Amino acid sequence: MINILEQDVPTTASVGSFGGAESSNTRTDNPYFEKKFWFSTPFTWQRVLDYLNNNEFLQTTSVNAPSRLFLLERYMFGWSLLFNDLDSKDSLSQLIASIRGSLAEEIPVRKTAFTHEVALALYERALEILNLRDVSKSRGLTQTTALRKLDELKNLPEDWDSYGADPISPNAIAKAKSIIISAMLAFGRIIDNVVQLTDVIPIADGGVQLEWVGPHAELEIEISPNGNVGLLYISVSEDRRKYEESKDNSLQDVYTAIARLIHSQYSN
Amino acid sequence: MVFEVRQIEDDDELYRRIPPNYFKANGTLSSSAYKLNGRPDREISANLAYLTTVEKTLENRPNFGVGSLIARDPRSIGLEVVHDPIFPNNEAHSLIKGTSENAQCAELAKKTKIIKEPT
Repeated sequence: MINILEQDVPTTASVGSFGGAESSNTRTDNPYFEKKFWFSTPFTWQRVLDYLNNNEFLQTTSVNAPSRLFLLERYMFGWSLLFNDLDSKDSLSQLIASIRGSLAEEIPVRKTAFTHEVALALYERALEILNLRDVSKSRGLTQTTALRKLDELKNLPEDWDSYGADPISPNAIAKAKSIIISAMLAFGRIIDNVVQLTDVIPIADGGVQLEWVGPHAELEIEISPNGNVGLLYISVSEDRRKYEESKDNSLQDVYTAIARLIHSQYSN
Repeated sequence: MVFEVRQIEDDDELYRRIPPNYFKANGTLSSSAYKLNGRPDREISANLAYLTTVEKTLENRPNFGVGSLIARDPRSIGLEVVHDPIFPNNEAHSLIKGTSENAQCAELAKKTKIIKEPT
């Protein structure tokens, strides 16, 4: 987490920007006031969309500095998830109190309070509380289990499917591991709460398939023996499933697809 | 002598033998169950259920699982379902023909009901 924050993330892209102009107009030098104000700022998904659509930083740096975009998306998805998950004003108040108390101990309070460090710490802490409240939401593989299953695929012999399958390529396994680790780093606990890696499947040509499930969508990531990545994104509604397929994707395409999977919670 | 080739009705059930690795941890099937060498299998073998049993479908592959599809399901995504008996060994043998996209494999996997887990 801290490593990500140590990158050059400009303050113009802070999460506080969601709140609109009143956020900056009412800032003071009192960091506690700012935190409180930030939490009490109404948060809606429309604000996130407006922010994504209008923020110059996001528009111009998504290719050159993808990690910045992922970090920001992580804030946005995370906060929207958080606020939609809270079922009453009481639980919101409890959450704010708990996080504020926790921050006083965990984060050195600085006069420039509206920083990404504070924002991400708030977000992480909030997710932690939600995780404790609703652990049963998770139904996917943990990162450790997924990596172990990938290692086990190395042991599959030739013809493991009895139809002439090839052994699984070390390239495909390495690429799959890289995708899992980097996605979980980029999206943090959202991966467990909103989107689950449901399984790691061998492919008969020696490749590997990763399958992710979100609230209203699914994603199949197919990694060929030479490491090429194919994506199959499946939008799921009550009466139909819509498929979108693409080949030769970059790691950023994978991130974008996972981000879209997270977004899918707002699609129905 | 050959077997009679039957007309497969929309309501007819088909059995598909599936390798253990294609059963996911969450109890569903991977789309790979309908691929051959990593690509959509253009002629997917299945057995017409009323001419066979789960045990016969698993002949020589006792550790595999079995999934069930209703003929209407592949047809609803543009695939052809035909009876293709193999004399003298498998009168029930049938084919789901025309699969060319991963999306079709995913849709078939989604619609497959698992009737026997692999062992």
